[in-house]
Amino acid sequence: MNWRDLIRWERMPHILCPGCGNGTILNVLVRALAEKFEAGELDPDRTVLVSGIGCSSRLPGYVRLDSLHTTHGRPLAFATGLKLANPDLEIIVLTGDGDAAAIGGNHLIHAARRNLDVTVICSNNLIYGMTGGQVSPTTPEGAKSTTTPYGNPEPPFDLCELVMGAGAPHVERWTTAHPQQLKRAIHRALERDGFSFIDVLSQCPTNYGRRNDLKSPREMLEWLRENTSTKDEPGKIRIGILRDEERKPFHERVHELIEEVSGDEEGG
Amino acid sequence: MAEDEYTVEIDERLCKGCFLCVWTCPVDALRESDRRNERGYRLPEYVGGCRGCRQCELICPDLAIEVRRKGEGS
Ligand SMILES: Cc1ncc(C[n+]2csc(CCOP(=O)(O)OP(=O)(O)O)c2C)c(N)n1
Ligand code: SF4
Ligand code: SF4
Ligand code: SF4
Repeated sequence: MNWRDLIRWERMPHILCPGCGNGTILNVLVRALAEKFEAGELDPDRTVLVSGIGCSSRLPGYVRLDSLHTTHGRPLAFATGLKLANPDLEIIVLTGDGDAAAIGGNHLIHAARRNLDVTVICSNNLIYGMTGGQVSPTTPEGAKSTTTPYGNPEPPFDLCELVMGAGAPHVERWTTAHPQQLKRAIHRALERDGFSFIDVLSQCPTNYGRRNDLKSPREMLEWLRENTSTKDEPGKIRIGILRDEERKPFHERVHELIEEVSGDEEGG
Repeated sequence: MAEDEYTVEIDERLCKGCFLCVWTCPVDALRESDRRNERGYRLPEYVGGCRGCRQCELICPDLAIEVRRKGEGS
């Protein structure tokens, strides 16, 4: 399958601002999926995109696959129901830092703890983009937003550390300045059983860059390239494969339990 | 100079002039032009010398670039 067959061209050009990192994530995702479909490793009729609310959560609307555009912060709650009812579905959750870690923070840690078998791609643009640039749980300390006009006084969440602390078995961090590596990360995440989390540091030139001396998309990508490293370097954000382990997914344990218990009932 | 092995097509209807393609190209095969599309966005242009790394294609937030090896589909 060619990636072009996965785009709803009648809806293009998309609504995202010029140079928005969410566009690069869409680009990389459809190419990774097309490769998986082409190789016969995934079935487009059994692959679902689930998103919450935000600019990042609009991506499924441009992809010719079944999708659920849910409520703010809740894509993982919907995905939990979807996976338990239809264990053979491949589920990809597209979310933002506000969607995943602010209003949806509880769903995130519990989905990681339970080891829900989904691939989460979090477009982490350090801000609430859609609503005009309010502070998010990942906004860097000192950064300006509409709600922190004098600089953010809070320390940010490291989303990878957060989900690893909660038990997520497969965790990677990349940026929109690393699209090749991101594509390979999406491949790995789709291959893994259990909770795969990809934190994608991304640019919102309109509502983050403009207020933080990174006006153009290019300046934002240069910042992402210069301030990240695949090695542990002081002062740099660590990117790469942060954890790659195996643990039995939630739906398998639940279905085994159901079988065990219903067997008992029939017998007894 | 030898003829390019690749063609780089930019869909002007989709492009929003962010120039991330220009930024990412390792061999400066793309540059900013003064032409605008019908929505007013300034367009990049291909100047030649593409090596087929496809980085511009993959980074474009508007899925507007297609790099083709000559004589092949895509
Ligand atoms: C229950 C609820 N509260 C608040 C909102 C308003 N709202 C819409 S998007 C959003 C934040 C989006 O930020 P993020 O998830 O980081 O996505 P981005 O737009 O940056 O991609 C908020 C607060 C809403 N739609 N629903
Ligand atoms: S507001 Fe920010 S996140 Fe939303 S489309 Fe524009 S650049 Fe992208
Ligand atoms: S990256 Fe895409 S949208 Fe941006 S200038 Fe190049 S072709 Fe246009
Ligand atoms: S494929 Fe690579 S070399 Fe060719 S124009 Fe794009 S970025 Fe430049």
